[in-house]
Amino acid sequence: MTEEEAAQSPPDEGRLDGKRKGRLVVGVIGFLLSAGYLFEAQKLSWGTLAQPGAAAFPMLLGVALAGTSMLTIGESVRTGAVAGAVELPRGVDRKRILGLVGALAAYVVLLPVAGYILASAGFAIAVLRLLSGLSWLRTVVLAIAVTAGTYLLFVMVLGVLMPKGVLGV
Amino acid sequence: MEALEGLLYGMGVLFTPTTLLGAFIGVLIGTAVGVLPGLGPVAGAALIFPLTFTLDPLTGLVMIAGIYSGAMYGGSTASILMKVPGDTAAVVATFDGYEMTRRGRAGAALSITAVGSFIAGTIAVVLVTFFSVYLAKFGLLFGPPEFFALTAGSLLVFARITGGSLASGMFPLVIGLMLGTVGQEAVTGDFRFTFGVMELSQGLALTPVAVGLFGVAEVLILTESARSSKKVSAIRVREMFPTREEWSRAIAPWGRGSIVGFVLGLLPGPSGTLSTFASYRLEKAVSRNRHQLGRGAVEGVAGPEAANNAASTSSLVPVLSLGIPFSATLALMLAAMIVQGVQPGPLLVEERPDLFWGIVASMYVGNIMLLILNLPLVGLWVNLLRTPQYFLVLVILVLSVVGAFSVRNSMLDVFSLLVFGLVGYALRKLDFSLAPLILGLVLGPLIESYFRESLFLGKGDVGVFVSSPVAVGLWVSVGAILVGGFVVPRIIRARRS
Repeated sequence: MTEEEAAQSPPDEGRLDGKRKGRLVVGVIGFLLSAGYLFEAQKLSWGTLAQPGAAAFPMLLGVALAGTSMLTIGESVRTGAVAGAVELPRGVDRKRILGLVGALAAYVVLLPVAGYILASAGFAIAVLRLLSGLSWLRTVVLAIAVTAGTYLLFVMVLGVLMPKGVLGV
Repeated sequence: MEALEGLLYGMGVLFTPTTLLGAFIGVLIGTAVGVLPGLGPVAGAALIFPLTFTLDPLTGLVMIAGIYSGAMYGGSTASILMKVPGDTAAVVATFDGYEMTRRGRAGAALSITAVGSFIAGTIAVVLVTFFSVYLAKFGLLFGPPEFFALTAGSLLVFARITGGSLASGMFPLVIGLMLGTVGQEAVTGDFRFTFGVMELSQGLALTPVAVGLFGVAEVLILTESARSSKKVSAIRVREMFPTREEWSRAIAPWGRGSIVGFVLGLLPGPSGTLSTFASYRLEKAVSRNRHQLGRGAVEGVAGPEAANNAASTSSLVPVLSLGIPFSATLALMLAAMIVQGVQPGPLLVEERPDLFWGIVASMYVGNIMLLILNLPLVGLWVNLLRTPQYFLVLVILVLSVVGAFSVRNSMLDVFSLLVFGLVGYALRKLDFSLAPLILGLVLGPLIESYFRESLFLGKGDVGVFVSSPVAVGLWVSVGAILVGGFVVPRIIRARRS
């Protein structure tokens, strides 16, 4: 097959590549979600057709989600409508992004415990160590600058009440 | 109030120091989020969103409108200088814009973009001024069944056009609509899907969802590859002036782009992307120098960039006259109106002429501000493009967390930010479209109220949804677009083979 023919031919519909597998999983999750959503929705007041209760619209949406989930599953299994490899980072790139997600998750969890200043400074140090080649000294200085700058703008000037944490800062 | 009189009235209400400052901050932030990778217009507007509640409604809305139009400008700057389009609407600017930069005509390309955007914006504002009033008058004929058809139908069309495959748009749309049902139900007072969590009784906050899906997810994608900040050469002021030939080649594409953009901005769909590609195709078909397109032709920059700006202005028409947004950023504007207690829809022009005309006028004034910001201050944006990636990522994530928390001082919103960031990353990797999710979340409660009111009006008869010629016409159009999307490509393919 020439390159041009290969480009024009439809994707191999029998093979489940990365995107098709991923979308199949999303479809299945959506379907399970629709079941749970419909189960919760039917507990609400139904009302009448002239005066629908709180359950009416969610029931329709639950059915719609079941339908679009089936469509997603169908598209991934039966057609090559969306196909190809999922471009996920590998090696050091993967480590870096997992590190960033981990740092963000830790930041979110520690924010109410450690307070804005400590949690943000810690997060900034983690991000800078992960993404930049800055020395420790520069990392710490920049982390303090970002924390202080955002604290000054949001807490002092705009009056946002960020969590203070157990130490009260 | 007649159109011209209305525009003058709008200028009057806009010219207060606070509102003008709001417009300026909006276009400034908009240009910055457009220029920089990582935080697009949706996430930028979503972060400003909680701040708008503390301002008067006009200033808040004008700020969001400024972010919307500023981001279009900024996106093109990054495309032209670095071949890094901030979003799909800015992709076309890389074709000829970046080629011009390579040939040392970056300054001219930026000037042609800025002046073209200004001209297109001006043409579009004049057309919007007349169009909105008539559309709003037409909208007055609408009752709940017609609004149900319009809102639900345009969401379906939007999801179909935006999504790629059918499921890519429809699945996120339904998820968005479902997220909109969380919280205390307005009519019965029932708590829906709150699972005993009191903070959920007010529903899911829009900011963490939008910033998570569009900001955090984008930052994660940005971080996938370690990029050192790109080298961008400085542009001197005298390099900003296009030659006489470049000016004269830009005029016709500006005009054509303005019309194409204006029309596409009125329709459901990603108008920024559609209008730039449509204008580029048009230039390829009709331009005198069409053979040079793709190799740094002025026409390839002038047409699409004018179209982009005209579309962003005209897409305000459905929001202001009918209360229907066709982009995630405009959905935030609509949500801001609702939070401020302003009822969007055809009555807006009668009930709140200050807001209606003030926002229209702000698009015009915003264009002038953008012209000033983008031409003499281009050096500032070039410097901004040199910001190291690690610094950008850090600042965006900290701002996102502060923004999510500040909505209602709740950690729940910060957790949702993280969750939606990861969900957005996964869905983008799998080619799902995220804008329908935001539109579903914002418009879901409105659609539900139209749905209920219609049934109440029809005394339980479901025939009420197709009881008027307008409603039937709308559903037929929606059906034709959805079915046409399947049939037309098959016919074309069959003919070709």
